[in-house]
Amino acid sequence: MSSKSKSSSKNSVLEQNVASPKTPGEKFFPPFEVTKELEREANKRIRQYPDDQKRSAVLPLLHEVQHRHGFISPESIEWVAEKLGIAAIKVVEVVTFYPGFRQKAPGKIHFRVCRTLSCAMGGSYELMDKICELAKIDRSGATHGDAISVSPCGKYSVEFAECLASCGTAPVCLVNDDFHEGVTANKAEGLLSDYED
Amino acid sequence: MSDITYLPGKEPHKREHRLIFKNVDRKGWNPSIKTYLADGGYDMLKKAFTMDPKAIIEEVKTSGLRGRGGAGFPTGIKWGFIPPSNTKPVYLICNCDESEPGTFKDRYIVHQDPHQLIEGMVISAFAVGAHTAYIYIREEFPEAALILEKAIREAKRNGFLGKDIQGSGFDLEIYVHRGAAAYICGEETGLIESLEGKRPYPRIKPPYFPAAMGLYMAPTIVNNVESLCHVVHILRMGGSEYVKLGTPRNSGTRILCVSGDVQKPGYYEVEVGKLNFEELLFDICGGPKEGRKFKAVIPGGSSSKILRCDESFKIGRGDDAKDMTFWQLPLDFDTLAAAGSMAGSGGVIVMDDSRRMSWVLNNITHFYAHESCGQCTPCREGSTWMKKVSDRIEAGKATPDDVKTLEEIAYQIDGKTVCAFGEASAWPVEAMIDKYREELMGETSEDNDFKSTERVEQERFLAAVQS
Repeated sequence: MSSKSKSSSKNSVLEQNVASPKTPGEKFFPPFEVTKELEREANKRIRQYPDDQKRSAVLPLLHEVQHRHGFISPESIEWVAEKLGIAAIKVVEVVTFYPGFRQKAPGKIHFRVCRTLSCAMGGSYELMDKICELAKIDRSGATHGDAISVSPCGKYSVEFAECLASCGTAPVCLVNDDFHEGVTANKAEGLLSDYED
Repeated sequence: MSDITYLPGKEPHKREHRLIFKNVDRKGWNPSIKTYLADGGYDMLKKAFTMDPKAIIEEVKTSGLRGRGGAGFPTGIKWGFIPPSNTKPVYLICNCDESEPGTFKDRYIVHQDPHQLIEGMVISAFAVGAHTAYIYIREEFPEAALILEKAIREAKRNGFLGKDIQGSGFDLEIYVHRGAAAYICGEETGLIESLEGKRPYPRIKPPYFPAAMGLYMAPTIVNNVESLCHVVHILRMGGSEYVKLGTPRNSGTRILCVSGDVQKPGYYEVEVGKLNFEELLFDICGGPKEGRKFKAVIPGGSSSKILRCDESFKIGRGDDAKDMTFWQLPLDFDTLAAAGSMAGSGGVIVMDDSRRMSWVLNNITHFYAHESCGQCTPCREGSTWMKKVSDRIEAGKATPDDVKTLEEIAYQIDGKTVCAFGEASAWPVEAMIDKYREELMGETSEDNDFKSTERVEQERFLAAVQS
């Protein structure tokens, strides 16, 4: 019990300083928890780097966390820092830099629509508008630092991505980890229904 | 090779010369090691172990292979930069951060033919003496990361990776390291910083040339996916045979990725410099879309300078100089450089006469403003200003002076930053203004001159004083 209260007091500094706003998508992801399986995967990743260069595993560990829990919470930052023997700020600076790490829960189904030139010429802005219309997402609050917009039901979220490297089959998008090519706006409805359970 | 057939609708064009993409869209092909071995896979690795590492480097130098990531630096020469007195471990890194807008070649290699890359990496690691190699793969290729990890396990089980590979006494481990959606990680020193678990702020060169002071301050060779794959073919053909492909100083094949306003966008592996724009865009890509005309082409990824389709150039020096129209330009490193642009990563983005250049420019400035790492002030601030000014031009809210301001900002970034991102963000803007100044000016108006209350007051006051 005492160790728990100790760790939560340690978290509080992070919690005060690391933005982690609540979103309706949270209910679709299990809260951060250090399971044996996560420990095992993390140790496997750490072994990829020289013994005195554990810090290299920051990105892989954050990916392991985000893959399971949807986003990077203050507790998980604390855990990664402890695991690698580095200060929490060194993890925070990585999380806040890379657009690939999220500090809030996306929807259960997360769309990343390519925004860059070839896809834009192919109609990716229209695709984005259509997805937002169908999923009832308001994108007006999206900013550089907070690019993800979640639907009120929490089931869907969208974000513009910069060049997904498939310009020949524009417009393209990633839906969670699945890649879709040639998704013009008129195919948005079909795409959404493919992810209905 | 004649028994190779391709999936319907995916057959290579007859002008193509497929080495690297031999197995892409091939009928009956899959990324497993079984398929790769049945096709003569890993034979070149066995051959490599019969050679002296120095001899492999010599073959690559003879081949004239130039890096396919963007800069076009000779691969063999790069390998030769490892200090001979080095006592630290040497690292090999495969740059699979493919993120230059317009480029989509590595995607197909890592998704469809991962063992070709692994074979190329083992040979290259053997040549440069690396026992640990990393594949830095962009986060947006989640499936490819799994495919590569599976391929690595397969290669290990079959004795092509791990300890004492094929009884040669050479050890090598390859690990996959996923990035996290930052374009700057494609810059080799930024990539190294990222691999060390930090923000990917590029290092200043000199002194931090990766071949001398790279990953963990040890000698590190960073090569593009396509470049590493070429090594396999150089060994198979021999450097002196490989160099005959393409044109002098621009040897081998390269994959051109065509996107935008053409009938048949896609990837085309051709001998370097054997095609000009007319052949590429009309013969291979089927010309412009119905009822449209070609307007402009970005020849080597979005950082390269845009070319007008109605331009002509003077290529070469002195008596050898030739007048060439845009359509006659061959797509090789040197000609495109002489035409004021670059072959870059091979991403050809085509625009037809339906495109407004202010819109194109705006899309590009948004990309660079989003991706600037923020380390150097001219780039961090400048890329955001360029985005804001181009926002105004695109929305028809700019004054003619804004075009001038935009140009000035670009020239103040160019050459004043730690890494080449400065140029990458400034060049497209400089070129766009240089070549489409009238069109951009046409979307501006003196009426848009914004006067704040302070400025109105000031002008009123000055007028009163003067009268």
